[in-house]
Amino acid sequence: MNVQDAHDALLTWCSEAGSGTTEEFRRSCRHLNLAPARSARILSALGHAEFAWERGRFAAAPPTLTTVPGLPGRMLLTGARPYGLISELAELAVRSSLDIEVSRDLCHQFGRGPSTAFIDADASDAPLLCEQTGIRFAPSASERLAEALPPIRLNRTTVAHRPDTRFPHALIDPHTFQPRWDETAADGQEGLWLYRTWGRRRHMVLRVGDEEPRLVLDSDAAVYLMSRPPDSDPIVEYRRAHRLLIVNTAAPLPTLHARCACLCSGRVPIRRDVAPGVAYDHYVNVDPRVATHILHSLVAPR
Amino acid sequence: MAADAALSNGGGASAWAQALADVLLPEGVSVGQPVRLDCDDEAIAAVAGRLGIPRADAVAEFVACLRREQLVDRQTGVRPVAGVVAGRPPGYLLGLAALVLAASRMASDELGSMAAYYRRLSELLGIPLQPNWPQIRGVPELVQRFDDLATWMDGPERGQRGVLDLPNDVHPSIVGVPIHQSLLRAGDRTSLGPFFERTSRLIDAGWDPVHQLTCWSGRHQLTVSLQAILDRPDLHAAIAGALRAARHSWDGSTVDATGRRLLPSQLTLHLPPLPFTLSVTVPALPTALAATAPDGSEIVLSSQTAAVVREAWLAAAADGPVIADAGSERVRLLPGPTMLFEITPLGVQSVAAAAEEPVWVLTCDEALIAACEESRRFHAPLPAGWVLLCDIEPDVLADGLRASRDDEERTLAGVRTVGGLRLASEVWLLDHPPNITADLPEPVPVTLDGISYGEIEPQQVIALDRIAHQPGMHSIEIGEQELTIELAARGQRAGVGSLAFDLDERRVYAGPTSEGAAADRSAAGPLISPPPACEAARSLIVRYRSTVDVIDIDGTVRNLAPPVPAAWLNHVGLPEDGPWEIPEADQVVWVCVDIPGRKFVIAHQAADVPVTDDVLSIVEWHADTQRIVDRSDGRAEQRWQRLTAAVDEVS
Repeated sequence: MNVQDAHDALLTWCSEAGSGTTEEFRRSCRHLNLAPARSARILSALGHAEFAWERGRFAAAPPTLTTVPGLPGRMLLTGARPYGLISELAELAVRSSLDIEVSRDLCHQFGRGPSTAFIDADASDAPLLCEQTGIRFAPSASERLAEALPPIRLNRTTVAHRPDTRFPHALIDPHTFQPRWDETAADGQEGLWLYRTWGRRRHMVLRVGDEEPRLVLDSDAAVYLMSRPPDSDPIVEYRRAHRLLIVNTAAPLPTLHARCACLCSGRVPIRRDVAPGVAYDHYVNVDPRVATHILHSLVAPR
Repeated sequence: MAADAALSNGGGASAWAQALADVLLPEGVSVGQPVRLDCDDEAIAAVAGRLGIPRADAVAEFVACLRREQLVDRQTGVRPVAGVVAGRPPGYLLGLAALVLAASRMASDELGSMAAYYRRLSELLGIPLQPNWPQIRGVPELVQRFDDLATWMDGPERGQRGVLDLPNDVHPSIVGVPIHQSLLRAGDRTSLGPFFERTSRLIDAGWDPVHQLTCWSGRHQLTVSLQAILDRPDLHAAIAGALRAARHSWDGSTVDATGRRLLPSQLTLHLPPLPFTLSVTVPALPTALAATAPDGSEIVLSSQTAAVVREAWLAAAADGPVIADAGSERVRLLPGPTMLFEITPLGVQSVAAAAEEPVWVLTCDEALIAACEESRRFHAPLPAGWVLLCDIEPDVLADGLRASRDDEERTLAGVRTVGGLRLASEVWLLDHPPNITADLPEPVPVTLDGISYGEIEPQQVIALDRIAHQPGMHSIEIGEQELTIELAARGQRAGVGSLAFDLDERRVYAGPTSEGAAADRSAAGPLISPPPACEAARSLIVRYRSTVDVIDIDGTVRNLAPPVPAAWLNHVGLPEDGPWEIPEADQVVWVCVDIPGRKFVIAHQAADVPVTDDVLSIVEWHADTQRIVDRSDGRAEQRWQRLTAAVDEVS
């Protein structure tokens, strides 16, 4: 089985299971030779499933049809994709009076995520199609989700927290976003700290001046809260002419932000390595309005 | 209730019998399942606990009761207790428990030795050995009571206490029966030390001890009897319980290659802001002990007070385990050139093997150091060549330093399923069946659904490709064992959408939760609930990669071609021949399509267009169309016929 088939099989398994424990998910990933954390991140970003690691649960999202900006008449099928769903839709398309086309051959992701399923149909036919198939219809999901993203601010994404300094901890490098275990930094030093606590926990703790330390609830959001030197490279930038959202891979987008960007194309971001240890994720076809919401949420004044 | 009754009976024979039955053969636990009368020192301690007797006095009180009630004596041996058939449970249960207790105390090399068994029984009961067979009088009569016990469990007890597992053919024929009842012998307990050292935290966390033991590389050290029991799926629950009890009573000791007892140490790393140190305690030591380290230095080892690991010991650890001699005890201070640590509520503590979470590794293994990034090396003052690596994934470590968990896989007499995409117990997703592996001693034939599938070698893993795409139940025979698996295209699909982000801005960054799914406004995948108001723009999409003729509401016509596909489609490998949008859709009444072999018109609005020359020209060209797609009011065909009639009139 190639990697692409493995990703597709994982999505099918998640969809048929419906929900389960992250341990079961890990076991399935092991069988398919996929990295559990990365696979989960991709499934989540593409809107196929949700993962609550702290609670040890995953759940597939409802099968949903959504529109893709700049791709009229071509809709993205995301959420759960149970066994044989595409074949059933293709057969329905043949029988139906609706003007729809479903290709049984999905668009592969070069082994980096589950294949993309598009359905060619007029958006005006979509509600009826969804009614006939039990699939949910969420037009412009990327933009609707992006509109719901509040700015990442201390008071929303962190809680007061007194870290236990007996646990191993290291300061996060503001340029590479890697913990510097090889350097010593005084406890209490301003910056973003990684604390390795017992069990599965990795706490990101932000220290700002003399204020009480803050625990970042979504660790992916942590780097967007930290103070960085003025000459630092931007973590995320948008190239409007090419509709490209470019993100440093060492600081991946928080889950919902990544989902907004991915749903603009149905594709996982393209990774571009520019130097050893330095790479950028390119999210393609990101609509300017979606990009504006994402950037506003990530880099709004604290 | 049972305990209360026993206590009120003052710890007499009937109270002991009742407590023994409740502990060894509890009601309602293994109903109808095979069980053994697995009596050992731990079991007697548990029985004594029910009778209010201190743990330390348990066996002595048990034997004292037998003597006090004149159930055993020097002249007649155990014959008196063999004759007590009255009572519920029957009185001979005390004698049978004593027989199995003696068997549980036998070492590995004593198995099958009748003389060794009688010696153990003699020591237990304090009865001198007789010069001729049977060396303890009454043992043959008492052993026969195992059959009566089985009858009692099957009859009056209706299998509520299980079905006694008795051997059909055993050697030695008499004492072999109580030996057979004992699941774990003293010899096994000694051999299990290294096993528990490696897996105790996993067993404590609920992992299946039978699976762990089956996968343990030192399994060959176990008695043949225990190895045979591990292959009995019907005794899985019984042996799992015995292993958990043995782990509970494990004193922490192991044996070295020469069979000498060795106490492992517990290492703790102290990191900044404390001074960086490595300290050692020995949890198995009941009291502090003076010991001599390999470098000749004197240290005091204890279970509570930590001793600091010296730099010279680390240097010695590069060549293997560092052992300290403490007179009667030997203590393994350091396990060798690679030491694993996990972050626990008590600090950064050593573990024998990595499970699934990243570990910290103190090592001088150059290959391992080279395999890890430099930023993972903890800034610590360590001797030359030694490095403390942070957050190392278990995959990077050698097999011997990792523990496996596939405890959900079922084991059947050495045969088990491995992997696959499991949907439920014994059900796998169609196309993704499990593999089969066996640790049988010799190759055995395999049949799939009654058809030969070759042979499976010991430890070989075979894929079930032949049935992978066949839904339904499948029977797999491996030697004398039979497995049944089901391949299904449909799972339970339960809980789809049960996790969602609460879109309240105070909670949205707390991640998806089940509570979030019930929030006023939530997002599961791409779906927002309730759906936001969204005015759908009336668009007109065509999917034909050819020019189309459009007739607008004012009678004008447009000839449009598909636009150049978006560059990103090709960039990410998507097909570029997708649909395209007709601009000014609100003006469009008819879209006329002519692609090779296919000519049709689409009614977009219910409107009669002015009959102009341009309109007639297009209608004439498409007059022979066979298909009219009506997206208007259902009367498009009539309107189109009027236009074609107009063309006929003009011509």
